[in-house]
Amino acid sequence: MNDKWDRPLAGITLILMLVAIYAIFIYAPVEKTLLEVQKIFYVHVGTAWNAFLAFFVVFVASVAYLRTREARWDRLGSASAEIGVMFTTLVLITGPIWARSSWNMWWTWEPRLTTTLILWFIYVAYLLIRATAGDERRGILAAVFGIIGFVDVPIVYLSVQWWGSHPIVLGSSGGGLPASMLTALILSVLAFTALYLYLLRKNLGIQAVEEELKQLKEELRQEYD
Amino acid sequence: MEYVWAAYSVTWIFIFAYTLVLGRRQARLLRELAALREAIGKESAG
Repeated sequence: MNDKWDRPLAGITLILMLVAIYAIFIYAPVEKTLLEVQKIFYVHVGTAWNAFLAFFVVFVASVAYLRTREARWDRLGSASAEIGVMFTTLVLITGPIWARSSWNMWWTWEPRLTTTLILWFIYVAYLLIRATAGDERRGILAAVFGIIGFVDVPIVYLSVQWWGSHPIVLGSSGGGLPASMLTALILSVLAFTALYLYLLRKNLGIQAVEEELKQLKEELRQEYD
Repeated sequence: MEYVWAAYSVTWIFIFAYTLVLGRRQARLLRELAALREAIGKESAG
């Protein structure tokens, strides 16, 4: 993979992160009911949005792989799933920290939290399938799992509207956000999206080297056989 | 405020650690690739 974009992308990500931190802690006001602890919301939503984006990419790559059987789609799905699991882990860590400080509890089995935990297990299973399945079946198995697993993403998103109980900060029924908080949120989402793209490129580069190594070893093996 | 620090610290430590793991993985693979190419080069030269 051509790495001429790695440094500029890393720079853009860093700048966006610094701007987002400024917007979150200095530009956006302290929320009147939840006070400072509401600041967790920006990182929580930023990572959640990117987990959804990462799993959407897994879904698209899985469909494309099943249609074309081209290895580049398989690699894209694998790389995106790993980053998606990383972001979902962060959602599952920052969520309970926010819940503990705002509602005096770490965890409750309400629909949004439960479906998010299921989402995490689905994509950890996806990564385990990739790690354990044989070479010839791995791509197909992972792609099928990547498509079926994505069903949980809209369920996580809509669980609040279907079953309630999770706080809604954005949306028609949640009262919305003041402009300054919305700006901080958008900047946070943009910064984490840039981070996602950077990590995705990095991961794809690693997979390309892995593929090259595998091919080289295979050629050597055939030569000696 | 300690909860805010906890949430942001965990997030940044996690991201930093993951980026570090990716960097190390890439460096190890590149080393392995270079060693393999060198071995093949020596083999064909000799």
